[in-house]
Amino acid sequence: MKRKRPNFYLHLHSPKIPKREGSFFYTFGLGGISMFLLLWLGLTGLLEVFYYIPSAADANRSVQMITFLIPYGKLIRGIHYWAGQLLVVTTTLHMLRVVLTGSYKAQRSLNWLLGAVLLVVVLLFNFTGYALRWDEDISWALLVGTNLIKTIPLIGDSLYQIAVGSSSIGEQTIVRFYGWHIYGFAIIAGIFIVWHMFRVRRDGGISSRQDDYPVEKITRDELVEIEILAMFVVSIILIALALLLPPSLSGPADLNNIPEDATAPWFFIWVQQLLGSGDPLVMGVLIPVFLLALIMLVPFLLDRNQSGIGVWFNKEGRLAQITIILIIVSILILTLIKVL
Amino acid sequence: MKIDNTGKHKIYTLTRRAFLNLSLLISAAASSWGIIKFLSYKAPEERLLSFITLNQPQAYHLGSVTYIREVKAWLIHDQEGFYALSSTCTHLGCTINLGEERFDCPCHGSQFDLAGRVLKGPAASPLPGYQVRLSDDGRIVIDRRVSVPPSQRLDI
Repeated sequence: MKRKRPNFYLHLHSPKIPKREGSFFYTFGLGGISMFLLLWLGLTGLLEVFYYIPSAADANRSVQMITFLIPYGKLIRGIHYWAGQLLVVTTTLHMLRVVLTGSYKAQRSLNWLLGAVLLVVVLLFNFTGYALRWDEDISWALLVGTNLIKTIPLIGDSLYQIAVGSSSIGEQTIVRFYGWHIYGFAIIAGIFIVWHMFRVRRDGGISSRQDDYPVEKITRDELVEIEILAMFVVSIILIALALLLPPSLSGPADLNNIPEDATAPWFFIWVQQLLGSGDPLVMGVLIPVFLLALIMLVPFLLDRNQSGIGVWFNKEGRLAQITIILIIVSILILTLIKVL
Repeated sequence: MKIDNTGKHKIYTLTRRAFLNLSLLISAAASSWGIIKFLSYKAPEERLLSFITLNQPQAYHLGSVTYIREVKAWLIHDQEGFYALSSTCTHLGCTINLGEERFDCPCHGSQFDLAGRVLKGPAASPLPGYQVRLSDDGRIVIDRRVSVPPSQRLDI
């Protein structure tokens, strides 16, 4: 009997997947959901590009137009916004899952690094996207975020110049942010996602326990069924959020105005809280960079064991697990202090 | 690197592969330099006004603290006269807001007194003062080009 050729989507999966690790409650589908959110982001982003005008005078007006005038514009912008916000959550939880199941060990350490790069790209995407709204709420976060670059010794001023395009925020800034958001980061993300997925397959598919043999397996068709179900659920959640909790939008940004109050985008509120208590270089640049370096060094410094792969809360990886949990909890606490 | 028969002299040979790799490296460095230069062009900035001519002094009564958005400065009239302070927080550049007898930064909570001195961090340095003078027709001028200590007043 001639076997049917698998379609491309099936082909992306290993033919057989270990049953335990193939289950939803091992991965919680977080990597796959992040991928699916990116697909939504690409699609809705492309639609927004047709109306968005990257200029200081027109950017806010064009977002108003997308939101209030263009049919389904509110929905499309809402999905783009919520997919971006959820992506920060799903990628962070994905990282947490990978740490807690020891899936960064041995030959998977390279993929851990690729994942860390992708996390940074997600944050850069979110920050530039947030700024492109060009309304009063974003202006102070944009000002502070870019002024932080200047505090870096030696290269700070040149970096600021490259990021902002002038000696202060203005017309050039919005064009640069737009370029990075829709093109620069998209290319970087594309390359790293393909590499990230390729490494998963190359490293033997989903990380799994090595102690029990033979391993009970399922076919990829079963996994794909769960994935399609997850896509439906995620899409319904996105549409519901877009309709029920639409993203905010205020009048055009004007840095000569006095802000009533200025809050960073929610994923950087912890940095804002840190900045309130000390030197900008230390609080706003060095501490975040240190945390990122710590995350990246997990398989190289905190846990160099080869064993414990695929085991929730494995003993060998205790130090790595505690470190990542501490980082996430501290960020949550700092955020809550500021918000409450 | 090879060692010849006698074992005494080291002969460095540049293989074709090494030569091509080296050329690639040099052109990558040269292009990076070009790209950085390309990205670093300083486009003309949208400047704030360097000075502004306001109303007659009588328009700003004793005890008033007025925001002048065109020059991003606070114009203050107290017992000793007029003076102007930059409204840009010296911490990370947010515009400070008028609180109760002091200025508050909405971004990170720095506080300044009405003379521009830091009451509460994270800001480390005081707000700079701008020159306040009278124009020929007797109107108030704030000049950002001239820095003065806030203690220097225009007494009318």
